[in-house]
Amino acid sequence: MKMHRSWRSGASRNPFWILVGHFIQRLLAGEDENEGGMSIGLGAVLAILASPGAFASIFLLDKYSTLMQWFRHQTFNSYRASVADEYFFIVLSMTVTGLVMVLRWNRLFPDRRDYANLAVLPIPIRNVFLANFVALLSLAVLFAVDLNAFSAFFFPFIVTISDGKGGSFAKLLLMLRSHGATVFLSSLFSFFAIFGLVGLLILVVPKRFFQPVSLCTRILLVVVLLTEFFANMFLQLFSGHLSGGGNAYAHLLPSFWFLGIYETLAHLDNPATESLAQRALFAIAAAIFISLSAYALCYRRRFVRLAESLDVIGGVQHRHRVQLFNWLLQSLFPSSFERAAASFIASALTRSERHLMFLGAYLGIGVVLTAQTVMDGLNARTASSIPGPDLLAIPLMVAFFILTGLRFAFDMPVALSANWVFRCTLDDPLLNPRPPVRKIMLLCVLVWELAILFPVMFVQFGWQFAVVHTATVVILSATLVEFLLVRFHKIPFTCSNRPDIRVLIMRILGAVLAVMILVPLLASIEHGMLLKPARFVFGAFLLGGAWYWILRYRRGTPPWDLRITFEDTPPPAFELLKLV
Amino acid sequence: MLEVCSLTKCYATIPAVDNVSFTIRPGEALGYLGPNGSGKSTTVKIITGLMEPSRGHVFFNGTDIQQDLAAYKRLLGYVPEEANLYPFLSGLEYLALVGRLREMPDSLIARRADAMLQLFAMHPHRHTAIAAYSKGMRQRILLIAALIHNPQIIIFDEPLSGLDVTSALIFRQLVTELREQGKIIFYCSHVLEVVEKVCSHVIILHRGKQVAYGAVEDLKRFQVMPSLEAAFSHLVQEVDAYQTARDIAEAVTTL
Repeated sequence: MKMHRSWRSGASRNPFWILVGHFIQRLLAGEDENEGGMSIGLGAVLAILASPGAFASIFLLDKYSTLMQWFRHQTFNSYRASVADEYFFIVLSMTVTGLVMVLRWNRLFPDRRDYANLAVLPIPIRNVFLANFVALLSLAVLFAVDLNAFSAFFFPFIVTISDGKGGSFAKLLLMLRSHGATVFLSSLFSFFAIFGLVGLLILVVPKRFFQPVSLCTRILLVVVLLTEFFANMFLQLFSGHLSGGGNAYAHLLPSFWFLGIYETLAHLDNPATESLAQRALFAIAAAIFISLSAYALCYRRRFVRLAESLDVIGGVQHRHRVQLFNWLLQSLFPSSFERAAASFIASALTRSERHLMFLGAYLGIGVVLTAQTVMDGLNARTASSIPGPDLLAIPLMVAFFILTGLRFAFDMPVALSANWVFRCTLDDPLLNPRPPVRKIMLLCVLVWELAILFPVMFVQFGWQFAVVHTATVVILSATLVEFLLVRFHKIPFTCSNRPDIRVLIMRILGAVLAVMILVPLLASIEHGMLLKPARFVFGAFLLGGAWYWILRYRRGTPPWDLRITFEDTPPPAFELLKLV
Repeated sequence: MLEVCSLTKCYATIPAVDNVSFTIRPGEALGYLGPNGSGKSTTVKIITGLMEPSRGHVFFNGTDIQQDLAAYKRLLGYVPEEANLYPFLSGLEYLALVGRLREMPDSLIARRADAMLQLFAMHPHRHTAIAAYSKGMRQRILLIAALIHNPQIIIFDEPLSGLDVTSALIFRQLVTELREQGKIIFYCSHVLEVVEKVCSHVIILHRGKQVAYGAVEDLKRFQVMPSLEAAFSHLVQEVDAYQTARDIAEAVTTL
């Protein structure tokens, strides 16, 4: 006990371990503290990370319950059936670890702030770098264990129990070992692969291009990780079958390699998976080697020379605007306020990491759902001259995700302390901020609706259909824009945002309902109208009703609610019941 | 004694600091002046051990600081130009981090941090996250962090940035007190008036080169100028400040 205490006190006094603790704290801290960003405690992070695995394990009770099997008159080999679910857990481990790494991307390596604060202290610089790595690795191991903690016991347990022969204790241990090792190794692979990727980018990409390249890579990673995760969840977890199991290309996915480890460790006697297991082990070794080498090289080439790079001001950058762009800007946004707002919105959207990451993730989910709709549409395609509702829903789905993604992003502030520029310069408080916002939203959908959708439909189904379908999509997009902006009295990104759980739930529910019900419904209505053109009257009536509601709502808004808002008002402390 | 000999630092082939030499004895404060881009920050980085010179040496008590950088840094207090602190830590947590990394006993850190936070009027905000601090509050935390381990050499790089009038007055007096305690003080600033009042010696840098070095009074006498500001303008100013100001005012109204 005494020895343990003295070790603890020694560790707490040792500058290296103090640095490790500091870097762990730094990794957990909010991304944008200067904006008053949220810093999440370790406990909260662990609880959040543990929940998907726990829920998935509980969800699987239905499949493996012997009682449910008896009701359904089902009999199956639970060990063989567990392969599909094991794949889900592998994807979950890789996705969550990957997302954590992508979210902490800018904190993975020591930066200028660390250099400014720590390099003047009497600690060797290499210790700073090493401490950061130890902190990162400790968190990765902790997250990997936490993420799979519940499923590591529960999943092997329900699989073994559901075995018709009762399941022996030895079998349970075997399953525990196979599942635990597989998911843990998947998490570690994801960790080292992304860590290595960051290191390689730092080493290979010239400093001038690093920020844009790094941002594009992050967005791409988010899209890929979410695509794989949601595709797997929708296609497999609900169906119980391994998606793409028979597809040769699926075996190029790292997640499939780890399935090889599971099958080999669980003695499921599948010779095809042995080579996959070897590939997985090789991939882990390669990822560790690359990431460690890149980290060491980054220390030598970048961190030690950081002080010098701080003094060198980047070369003068020239931006050339083409005349056409200036003409377009003048024509689309005639007033100076509109031009100022439009330029600000475009710059913030294309340069703010937080917003691009959010849009990347949101559109990633959209890509998965749209891809699913495309597959359904292509499978259900007939020789008819009119495409089915699934194909008609594709552009609506794309427009929906782009427009709602933009609308959600507009509520996320950027450099809030700089919004005094707008507050001081706008002399008319009743100035309507909607026109430039509306035009930007419409531009984001109209461009591809006219440049891609119309030609594709023209080639595939003829000009009449192309005109009608494109017009329908354009009108519905415009209606959605108006609906989304109905209570919008802000200049995007300039208003503080108080996280309100009710609003968040409403938005998530609204988006889910729109994707699951409204978009397919609108596509079916359009399909019906195309079959019988007389039904267009019904469509026009519905649309007229929606526009009438929007205009009526807007007219009924009291003047004080039409002021441009820069501060999100807190919910009232008490509300009048208005019983009389 | 801190001795800088023929210090030169080149970026690619361009010298940022060119053959600069000076000496600071205990109890002396050296003012380091120069316009933007004259090489002040580069010199500061070299004498804090953050950067190695291309040529020349920095000696402390006769030993090259590069021989045992960690030992040198233990004796060094540094207030950087930019208050680039960890925003997720509170002021007190930051001081504790710095103190522990300097291997100070926890009790000593607590005593000194508490006393200095009181003296710098930061005590009520000690548990507030640095993200919520104003520029002046961050600067005060940096000052405390630089002094908490009782350093022998103190390097100030624009220390008054963001400080209010009272804090600036206290700071000026503090530099005088520290000098009297025998500390070696290197003071890099644009505020000539303060340098004139708190420093015993001054160096004026222009395009990386040392254009004047000596006691403040000697410099004024030698340049036949009434103040340090006038001497500085005479030595380094390339544009007519009054004419430029007139041109700007004219551009505002006519263009």
